[in-house]
Amino acid sequence: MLNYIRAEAYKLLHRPYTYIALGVLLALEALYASMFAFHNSHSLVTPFGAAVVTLVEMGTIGFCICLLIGDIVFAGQYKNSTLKNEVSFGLSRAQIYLGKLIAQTLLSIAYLVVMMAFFIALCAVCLPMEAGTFYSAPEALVIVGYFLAAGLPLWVGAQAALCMCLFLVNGEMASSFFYVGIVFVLEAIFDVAGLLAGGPVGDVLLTICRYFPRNMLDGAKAVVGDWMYLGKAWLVGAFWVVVCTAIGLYGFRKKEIK
Amino acid sequence: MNDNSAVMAAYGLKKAYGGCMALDGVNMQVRRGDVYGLVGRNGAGKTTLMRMATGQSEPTGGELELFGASGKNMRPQRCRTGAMIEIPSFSPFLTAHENLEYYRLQRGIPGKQAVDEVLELVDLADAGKKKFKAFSLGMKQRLGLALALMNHPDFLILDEPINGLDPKGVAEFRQILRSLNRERETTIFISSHILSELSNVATRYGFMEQGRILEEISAEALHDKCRTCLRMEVDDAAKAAAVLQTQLGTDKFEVLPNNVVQLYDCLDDPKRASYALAQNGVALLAMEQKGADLEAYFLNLIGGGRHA
Repeated sequence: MLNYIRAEAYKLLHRPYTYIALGVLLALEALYASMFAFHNSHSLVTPFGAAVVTLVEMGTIGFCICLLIGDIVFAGQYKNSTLKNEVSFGLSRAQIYLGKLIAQTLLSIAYLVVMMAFFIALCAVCLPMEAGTFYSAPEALVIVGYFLAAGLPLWVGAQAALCMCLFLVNGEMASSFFYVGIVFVLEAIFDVAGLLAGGPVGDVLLTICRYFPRNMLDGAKAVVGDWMYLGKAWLVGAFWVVVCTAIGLYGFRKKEIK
Repeated sequence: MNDNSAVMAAYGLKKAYGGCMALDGVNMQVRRGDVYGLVGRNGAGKTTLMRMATGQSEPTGGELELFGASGKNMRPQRCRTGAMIEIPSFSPFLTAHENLEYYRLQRGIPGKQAVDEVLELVDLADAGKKKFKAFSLGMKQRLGLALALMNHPDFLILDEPINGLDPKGVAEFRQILRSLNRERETTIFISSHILSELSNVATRYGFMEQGRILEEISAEALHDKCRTCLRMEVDDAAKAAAVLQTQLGTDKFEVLPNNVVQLYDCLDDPKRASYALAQNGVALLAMEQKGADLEAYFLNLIGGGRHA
């Protein structure tokens, strides 16, 4: 497994796409931070704390970045028919599947660290530290820290869902649609169905809806510092990882490789 | 069932896609040291059989063995194989060197020089920095072969490996296969539509048609069957045999049923044989010069007229 992850790391580090995608994301962050700097230059004071804390409103973007990460790591294995090179050497399907999932997770964390560090550093350089009536810098960092701690397992859970789609559905575009369907649309369906059904059935459906990663992450914004909720987020993330990986592994085990 | 000398063996192997039987009870053996040439028309099941051997596809019936192991135990044995099935596939955005380095790391092959060595072997040392997407078909074939050889396999599975190679490439490829088979004792399982080329390297053949192996035969036996001869139909085969021995001083003939004698001598002077038989009272009812190459043999085997 270690060899597989080393090989994936080698591929990611030698693929221009990895750097281009990160560069584009960092450029968007720079644009976002420069917007606050522009505000400040026109007497609308947005201090460091206020700018950094807006990150918690962007949790959903993390689920979209999962798509990008999945695309970078999976690297068109079906389109380029490269899975046959791995299977024919005797690597187990589980090793291939889990290797990709781990590589996806590691790249996600690397992207997260770089993007957060870049944005916070940029805000620290460009924006005033005096908080005024806004969050102070330490307060803002605690909020963002809590949000990231709750978000990490949920994003990894979403990565597992994407990994399942990438392995079970031929074609990255189709996989992406399935992923969006599972992470976003299914949640909305449960929500609407719960509201329409009402009664105990509706309650069950609405409860299920609450345990979708995006909803859990949204909930974290309102409960900063709640360790119970944080634990629940990790459990929900773990549940998504286990279930999606089990389904993905089962389906991939018998899949014809072309 | 388990023959230790067999590197790969199939027993009643079946593969169905919907209602279509791609493999319909394949029985065959690739023995240690063989260069096994798999011959068959498009859609005969050659690639399906090779894909099964490499784990890309699962059989729907029968049994497949690799180095004596079957079922789940077969997977670890695949580390001892190298394979190139259909068109070689690599990441288009990586160079040839990077692609091979990726698989070297993945397979845990020690030594960075393994990549350079194998690129040198397939004559791609100068193209190592070129991206795979810019490769010609011939270069892709060479890179596919490089990957198959990188782990010094005991068993090499090659599906149409010389497609797209130029004449120089074909000659080099043949040389590589011969040296692998002779010097490293690599067993090779190869399919090709270029039967003349296959006949240059194969030591054993399997003829496949409609998902079945019609015949397995060694190159020597095939050579004997295909070699040019005078086929003579006489009234008394025993007497004719005696005449050939005493009058022409040859024992290079075979007596077949129905008073048929096949003579492998006097091919440049058939009159000598007919004269000797006539002189000794053997009636020669029919006489023809006969011979076949691999292609003719295969076409005859599957019923003639169709191309491999």
